[in-house]
Amino acid sequence: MCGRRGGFVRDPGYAALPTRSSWSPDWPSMRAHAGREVRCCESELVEPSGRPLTLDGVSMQYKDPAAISVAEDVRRDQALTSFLGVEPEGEPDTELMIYAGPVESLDVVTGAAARMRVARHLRKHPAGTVTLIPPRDGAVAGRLVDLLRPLPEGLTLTAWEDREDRPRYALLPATQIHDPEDAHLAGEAALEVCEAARVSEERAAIIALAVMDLAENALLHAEDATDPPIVAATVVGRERVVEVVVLDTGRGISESGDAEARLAALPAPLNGAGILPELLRIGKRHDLGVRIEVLAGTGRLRWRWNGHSTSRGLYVPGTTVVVTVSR
Amino acid sequence: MSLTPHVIRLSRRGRALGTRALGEDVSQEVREASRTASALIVDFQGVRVASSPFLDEVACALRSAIADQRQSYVLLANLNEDLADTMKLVLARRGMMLGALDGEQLEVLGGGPHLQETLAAAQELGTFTAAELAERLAQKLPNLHQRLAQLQDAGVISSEEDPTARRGRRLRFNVADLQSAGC
Repeated sequence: MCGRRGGFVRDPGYAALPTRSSWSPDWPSMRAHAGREVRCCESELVEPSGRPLTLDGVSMQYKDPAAISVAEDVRRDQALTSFLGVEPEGEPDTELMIYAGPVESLDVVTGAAARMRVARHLRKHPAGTVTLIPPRDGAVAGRLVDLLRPLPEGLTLTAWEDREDRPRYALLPATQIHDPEDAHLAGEAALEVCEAARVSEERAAIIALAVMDLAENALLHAEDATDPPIVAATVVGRERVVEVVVLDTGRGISESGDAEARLAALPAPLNGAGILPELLRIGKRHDLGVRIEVLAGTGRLRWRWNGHSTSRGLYVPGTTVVVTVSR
Repeated sequence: MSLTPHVIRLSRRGRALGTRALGEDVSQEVREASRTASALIVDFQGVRVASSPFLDEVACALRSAIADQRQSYVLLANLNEDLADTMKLVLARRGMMLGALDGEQLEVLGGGPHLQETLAAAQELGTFTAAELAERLAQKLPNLHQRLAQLQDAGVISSEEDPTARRGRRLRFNVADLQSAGC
């Protein structure tokens, strides 16, 4: 698949990389030495059966498979399905390779999903590593790396040149939330960075609230979650539009028979209880544009102060709440 | 009546106060303080934002403090516009009222304009009997007693036996002089 919506691809230049759809337990994986980009060319690899494989100028060896290849537009549900879909078990030292070279656009959800996948891999494979080949487009790569900072131990970037002059993208890098105290600290951090980024007080308040209470909500209500929730926030453009995401792997809504119906039941009156109507209410009071999107299973909810709509989409694991705050 | 209240300064916990768990921590602090303090103020000075689950926990703890120690003044202080608005919604959902101090001005969050008017008049008098306040507001006594009960429930006034009463039992009401609170 190589359509405009992106997702997993078989890149002709990286023919040996498995796509998620073509993955099978006996698919050979590769190990790129840290700091070097994998390229298809001359050097020889030999898989356990003795069959040579030509790949790159870097020596490689077969391991149990774990590779993700993403391309083009990897935002919202594409990010969730790409990074958090089914995965192989693998050995304790399995390497995960994330090939993001052809990625052209990403968003806050991409960073959160990638962070969750990296953390999950390193947790499940204590002796394993993750190698990320960043997007070729320097600006897009900068955004992804910005969202993943500080890079977890065990994550290696290849072909990455850091530059001080890149515009800041991540207000709050993708962060794991383990307990309510983490949620509170993330909210405090969000308030601080919003001020530093000259985001107005009113918007900063909404962003801090969203970070804190959506993260706590995810901790409390994500049923059978396999990973700690992830929170992240980005700021883009002249308008300084801020997007906050809280991503959890709870199965309550996503695995229910009718996720769309479950989401349709969420919207409450703006003077009602709950963090989502509260965000909309504060936004309306200050004449700010606040939009909420929820992606869970095949259900989608879009909610503004003056109305909401639900629809169906690609299946995505867990529940992802995105709050967009604009002037 | 001048009191030195126990002040719980929430800015110690941060400028963004959210999560029910943090609200429970503050509630615990309120409960402990209310056992000994004759007046209690929860000061939001320096707090930029607080979520409704957090405020709900705090409001319930204050309501319990008022119910347990009716002689105490229990007030919120220095809420910004957003905080006051969210707190009013929280109180409305609970069917509660709480007193709030803004500078030297007291108001009843969750109360109607009639209570605000009664409180303003009571604040001017400082210490008063129901009859004195009724006269000032040109209200009938039963009506005024109802308002005074609501203000006591909100924690903004207290009452004590009037030792100067010549016959029977008479109450004197106090609105706290909170200038010494440092809020």
